[in-house]
Amino acid sequence: MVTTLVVTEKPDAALHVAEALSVKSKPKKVNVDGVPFYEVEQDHDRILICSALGHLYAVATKGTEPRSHYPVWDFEWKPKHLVEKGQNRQQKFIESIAEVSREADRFMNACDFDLEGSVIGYTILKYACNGADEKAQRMKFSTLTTKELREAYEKPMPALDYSLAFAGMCRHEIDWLYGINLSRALTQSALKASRRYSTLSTGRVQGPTLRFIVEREQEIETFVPVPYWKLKTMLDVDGKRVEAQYEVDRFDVKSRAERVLKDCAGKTGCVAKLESQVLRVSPPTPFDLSTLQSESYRHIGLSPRAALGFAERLYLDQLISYPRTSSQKLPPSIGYQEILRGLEQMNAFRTDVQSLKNVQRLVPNEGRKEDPAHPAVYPTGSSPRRMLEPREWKLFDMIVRRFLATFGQTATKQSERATIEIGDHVFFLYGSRILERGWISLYGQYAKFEEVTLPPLKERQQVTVKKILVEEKFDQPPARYNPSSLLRVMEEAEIGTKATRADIIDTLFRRGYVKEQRMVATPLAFRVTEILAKYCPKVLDVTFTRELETKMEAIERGSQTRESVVQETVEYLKPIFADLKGKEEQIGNELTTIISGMWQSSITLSVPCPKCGSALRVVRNPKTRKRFIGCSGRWEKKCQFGLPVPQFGTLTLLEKRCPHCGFQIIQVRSKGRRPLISCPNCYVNRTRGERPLQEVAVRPPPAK
Amino acid sequence: MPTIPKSLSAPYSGIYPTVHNMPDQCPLCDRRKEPPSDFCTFHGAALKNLEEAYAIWTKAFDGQLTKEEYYAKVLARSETGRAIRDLINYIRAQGAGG
Repeated sequence: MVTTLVVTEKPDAALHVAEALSVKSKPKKVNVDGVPFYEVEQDHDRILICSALGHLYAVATKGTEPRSHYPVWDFEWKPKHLVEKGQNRQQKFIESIAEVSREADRFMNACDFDLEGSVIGYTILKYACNGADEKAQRMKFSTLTTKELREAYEKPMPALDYSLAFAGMCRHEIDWLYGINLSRALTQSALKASRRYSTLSTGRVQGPTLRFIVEREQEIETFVPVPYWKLKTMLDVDGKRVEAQYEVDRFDVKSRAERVLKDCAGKTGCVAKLESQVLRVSPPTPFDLSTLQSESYRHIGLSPRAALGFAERLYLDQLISYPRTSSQKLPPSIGYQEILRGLEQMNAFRTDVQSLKNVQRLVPNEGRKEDPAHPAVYPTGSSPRRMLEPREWKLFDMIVRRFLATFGQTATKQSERATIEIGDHVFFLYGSRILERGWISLYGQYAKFEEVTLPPLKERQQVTVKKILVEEKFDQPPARYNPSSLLRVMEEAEIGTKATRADIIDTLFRRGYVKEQRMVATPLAFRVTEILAKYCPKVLDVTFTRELETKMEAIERGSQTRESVVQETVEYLKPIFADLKGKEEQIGNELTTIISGMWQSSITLSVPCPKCGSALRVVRNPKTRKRFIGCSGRWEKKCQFGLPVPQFGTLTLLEKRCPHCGFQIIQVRSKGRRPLISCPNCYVNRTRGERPLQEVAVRPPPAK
Repeated sequence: MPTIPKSLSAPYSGIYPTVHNMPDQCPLCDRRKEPPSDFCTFHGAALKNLEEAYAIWTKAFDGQLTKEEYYAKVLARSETGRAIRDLINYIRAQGAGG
């Protein structure tokens, strides 16, 4: 009897693999020290399926140097629980996998087939399974469906995908070298100058990404609006009012617009020419991850990270294919007909699937992008086995409709233009309507087309000018990035990967570099970017980051080695950090004002003391160390105003005001709890019986 | 219970908190001046934009626009950047002082 150990990435994936491989009976679930394993008997062989919890190993400093030391160039892969706090479960998983691996004769990596999956599988097999990577095989699949998993198990790749694993490891190592050294340089400089600890981070991709946001903010902050004028012209065509557009879109000189107005006022126009054109609108291309994230933001309002999270859940539920893909291709091998038959079983898609049955040959409108590991995102045809939450369902609905739409007929649109002459001046009327809906019907609410119907017109027909006026307009500043548009910019600049971009955007929020959904750069973001641009401009250089991406892709193809790319990076970074080390004092001084400003604003309320008008702050009682909202006029004006706040969790002052009293709302976050959002003023009045609580949810702190 | 007014300024309203303690500091923020300009690079860029836009505004009104009218019109627009507002207020204050 041969015992095979199959390593998967997540517990859900382990269950699907176990179910797919157990032909005769249900898989047996075994617990080893609280870690679930599945055992399957197949043709007198025993298969043990275990799972990881994402990465169980991480890059860390070699040796035991203090956390404040930099630059550090020596690193090694260590169990994650030794590197990061709160990773106790990871420790149990490593120990259990190591124990079970002693019984195995054959090893199989069944983690997702991409950089991260290959790294997870490789590090577990190498470190936890005592060098089993050398004899391990690789399962390759794009969906967690029974058919594909069985095929992947029966015909595995003979060895691990080392090039993919090494490219992934190289990315982790380079990002670690950048991140640990730069972040420590900033944090230590600030700490030495201000004696206040504050985590400042930057990185290989994070730095250039933050620069995009800061540069946009600078454009907005230094924007001067410039005026221009437009003619608003309303015509009467057989009793119907329509708006015409002047041949010149905008006037940069006011007097010129007024001259045209004077020439046309009170005159009758004449239809000089009628033109129409039929346009063909091709179906959309299949979803790659970036397009999926952009469309999710546009139609469902999901941030890129949330969209990826939901898509991964749909993948683990066997509803869609692997979402971390750059491909816009749908090869016939995925089985179009079988997927359509599956989708037809669902009421929501039945009619649309049936409309595709008339199509003689199913050919998707593929895009240019390719991914050697996976096809574009597509539905597997399986129906949900659990109730999907509303946003999950919307995302699933959009993925299915996009898939159907790619097979749809080309839509046709008629655009019309009428030329109207008023005196010596030319105006236009525009209309557009859809002639054949084609794929638009299949894509449903996600395809938006505005139809403008023109009234029936004939050449030389007279039209009356009902109203004509000059409107003053102004140029608008560029729009701030939102998570979706920033993701697109990162993709265009070729920095980060489809798997890491959403996390980097999230980090910018967490570190206080950006705030609000519109991604407003904070003073800290300005200062950190300016310091990096001044003292180590190479770090913000998109070209170098892009070059590194190319080199890492070369590792995937096998034309570069991981060691040489890491070595090149170290050589590149060494002089930068030698220089930074000598400028710690200057950097620290430049950061100090901003950090203390940020700190002040994080504890100062935007509402004044209702008794004396002085600023209110969150302060601590020096004796009891308890925090409360106190008045800064306590000494000068003898003001005794104060409000209690919860003593647990991290307190943040929100920009919101209480709808009842106008006081500033606070938020308290503590681990494992939902954030408490409350008005301290209403809370205290309620407890004193002065004012009943209305809509604002206030919960008292837990009893000790 | 007194009502709390809703319109209040934040602890600092500009891009940076302005603490003046350096001789070569930009008069509008805590960055250093970039000679020969009287301002830092950021506010220097704002000044350049303000001056370039004046030429466009003057042309738009057939040359019939004084600088003071221009400043008033720019300040009245919600699209105007914060650095430009700070700069105009500073120039006006300097003009009044001088």
